[in-house]
Amino acid sequence: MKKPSVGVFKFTSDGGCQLQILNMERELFDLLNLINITYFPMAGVDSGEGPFDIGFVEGAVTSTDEIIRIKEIREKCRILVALGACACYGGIASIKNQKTQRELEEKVYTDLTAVHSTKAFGIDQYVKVDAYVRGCPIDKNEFIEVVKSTLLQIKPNLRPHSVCVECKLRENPCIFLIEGEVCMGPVTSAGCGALCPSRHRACEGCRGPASDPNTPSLARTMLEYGLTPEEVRLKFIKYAGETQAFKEGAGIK
Amino acid sequence: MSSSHNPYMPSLVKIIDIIEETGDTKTIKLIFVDEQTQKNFSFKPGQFNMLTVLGVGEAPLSISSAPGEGDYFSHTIRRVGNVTGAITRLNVGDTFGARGPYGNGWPLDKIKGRDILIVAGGIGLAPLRSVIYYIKENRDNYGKVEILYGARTPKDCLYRREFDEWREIPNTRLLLTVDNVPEGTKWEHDVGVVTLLFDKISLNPSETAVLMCGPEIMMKFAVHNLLEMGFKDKDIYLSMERRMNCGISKCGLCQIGPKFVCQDGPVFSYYELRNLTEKIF
Amino acid sequence: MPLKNKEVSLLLEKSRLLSQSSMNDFIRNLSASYEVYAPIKKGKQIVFEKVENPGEIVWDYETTQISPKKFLHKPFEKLFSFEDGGKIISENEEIAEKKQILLGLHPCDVRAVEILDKVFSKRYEDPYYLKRRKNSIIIALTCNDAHETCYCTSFSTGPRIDRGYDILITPLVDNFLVEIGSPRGEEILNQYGEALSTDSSILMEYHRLKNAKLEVIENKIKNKMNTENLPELLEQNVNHPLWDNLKEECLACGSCTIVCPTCYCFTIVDKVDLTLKSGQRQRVWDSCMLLEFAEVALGVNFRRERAARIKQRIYHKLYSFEHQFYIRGCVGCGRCIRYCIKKIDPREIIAEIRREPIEQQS
Repeated sequence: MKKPSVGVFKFTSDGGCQLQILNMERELFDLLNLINITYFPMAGVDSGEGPFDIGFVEGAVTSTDEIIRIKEIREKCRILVALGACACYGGIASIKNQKTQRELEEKVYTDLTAVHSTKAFGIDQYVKVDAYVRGCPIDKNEFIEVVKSTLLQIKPNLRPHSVCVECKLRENPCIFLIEGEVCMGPVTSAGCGALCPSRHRACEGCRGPASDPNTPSLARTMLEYGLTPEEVRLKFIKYAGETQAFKEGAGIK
Repeated sequence: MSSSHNPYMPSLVKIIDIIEETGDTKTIKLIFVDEQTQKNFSFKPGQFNMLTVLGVGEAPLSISSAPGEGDYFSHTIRRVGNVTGAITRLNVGDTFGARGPYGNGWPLDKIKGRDILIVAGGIGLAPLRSVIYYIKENRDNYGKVEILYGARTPKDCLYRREFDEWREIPNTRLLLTVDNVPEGTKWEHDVGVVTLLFDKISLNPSETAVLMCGPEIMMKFAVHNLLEMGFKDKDIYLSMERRMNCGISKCGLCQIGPKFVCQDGPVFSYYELRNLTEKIF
Repeated sequence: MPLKNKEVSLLLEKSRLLSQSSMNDFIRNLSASYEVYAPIKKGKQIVFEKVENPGEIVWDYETTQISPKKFLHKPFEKLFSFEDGGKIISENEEIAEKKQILLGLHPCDVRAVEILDKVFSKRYEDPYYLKRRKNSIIIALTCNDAHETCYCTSFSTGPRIDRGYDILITPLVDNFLVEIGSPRGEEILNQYGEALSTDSSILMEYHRLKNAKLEVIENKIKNKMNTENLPELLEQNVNHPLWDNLKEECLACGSCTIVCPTCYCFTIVDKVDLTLKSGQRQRVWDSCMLLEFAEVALGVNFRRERAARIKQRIYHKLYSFEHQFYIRGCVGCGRCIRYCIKKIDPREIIAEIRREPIEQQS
């Protein structure tokens, strides 16, 4: 079997998800037996413009240039995978969507003539996406699962249920019930192994909405725990404020 | 590869023939690689096997051949998921895993002597093909037979090459319909959903057992129409689809109310289904 | 009701009194031959884990988040592994032959095991569960107290228990009243435990103390579930408006099913390694509260509605189990209430239906 060619592309992001790929010391060599990475600038690989069998895209699309570029990349990739919260649904960058472009640009830039920024969206705002690897940053096992299932021509087994399932299985003390703090776990997609709650930290929702997330109900509970509506809003817009479910939790119509 | 006492262990099966049915569906003929296992394998029409492709997973699939058809069994497989996708990529001579048969199958003993109305939609014809050949082999045990089959387009009809053979079974009618006929396609039968064929049913409701399999939405309308026509809920048998991972009433996935579709079904009378705590339609 | 003489002598015959130190010796001795799992403190919670030192055992714990079912029906279980070329490596040698002791199960959790026994042995025997079960000795522990979420008395699954254990321990004053529930229990007790006393008048006094304690606990359980004609009630209230109201509250997070001692549903998945050829087939706990539970190919989902999933959980426990396994599926341990962020309470669900049942059309 010919090894599929893989490209890793960066958009508006901090590179953390790409770093997760490079951090896979144990698996990296076995992975490279399976795939041929031909474009990965962060790793110093730039041996071609494609086409690619699999394209991994990190980062949100936040400018007109990036809109054009993501469409070009889509053309070149047989399978396109959104890598991380930013590429999946805008991520941290999408917090800016709560304010007008002008307001933000004036805060950051002195000369606005060269600025062509747009609202920050996940890449599926502009192109068809074949698979999503969620999280900030991604979980390496999910990345490997996507690579393996692509090669096996099957749907990856990434179950989108709540973080609570994994959290309970790890027998963590519930952030709500034992620690007495609010947590996004009940409405956030699992796959991280309940990473934050396992360290007594509330889930921040970086993996976006779980399947069937009851965000209005969770928002009500957060208010009962003493949060202000504004604090609840900030919880829901931190990573995936552009998703319908988290918009509802944030109280955005 | 086999183990007699562990019900989760698949046995190796080998593909001996592949028949292309439609663009996304194939009938594959199989034998167990272990001769003794093949010899001991007996099944009833309407039962299913759990088919395994190691590394991909396992899925429940109806057996589409009839028990007396030959020293093999067949599955008609539409490419809709991981396992069906992987199996339809295999070739003659390739092997994979199977365990079964599971489920109750059609109540063919209970309905002896009666007229039979078969209603099938799409891939739902697979477990009923088994019935058609069973009736052919045991023709004297049953009255008149009418087969109503609906598919999306003429090209999506399963077992087209066998239709003439079915029509030649004594006292048997085959009525076909498709949802639409693409331009330039030859089609001499009806167009529309399968329930449109119900006007042509000539069987007496009180003397007929109905065997039905297809998408749940199709079965919903079909059942309601049949009830209006005077068919009894106890005489309408449906083969149900649910998510299944074990086939042996352990995993809990396939429940409808208190019923395990894998063991109590997959065939239920509409009378049974309509009285369950979980509403179907 | 006073016991008859014969019953008294039978009871005393099966009873021993162990001091704190001989109890510790007993457990230490057991640890040499068995894996001993018991409730111990871990952070802010009590969890069932392997005991290294008897002093770790928390005898007066309330409950644990995950029930001891995890030692019998494991959250992740390898069914078998496979190699390149389709060779399956049988799991049979790999299922733990190691004998284990599950110590400190409250009556509700003991009776939950009885339910799982039925699930995994009916029609087809599940070799994974049953082998573990056969190799497990259950040492039950009488509850120290009743809590707001306890409703075992509704199902007669506690705080009194008369079966399902090999040994039953009741800490009283400074000692432990130990009762034998099976020949296996008697054997290990005789082999590893040194009794402080077998004097019948002393033992009788301890039984009186135990009984008094149980009465206190029973009386403390006020918030019960009325289980009278429960299946009929549920049969008639499939369309009760309460189900739709619940869906507005329920987070569908699945926690209630993960913590339930009688939930057993699982999904089977294949995990391949990076050769893409070898790997293993596993089963992992699943939950009917999750959207994907009833989803089949092409995105068809038979319980897309959250209300349908809530109903499935409650109906399976309180209705379907009786049809499927001739036993009620709930032991009233209260975990699903205690670990629900929204405090959805099966007792309240049943009470609400009883307050305003659907009018029956005749």
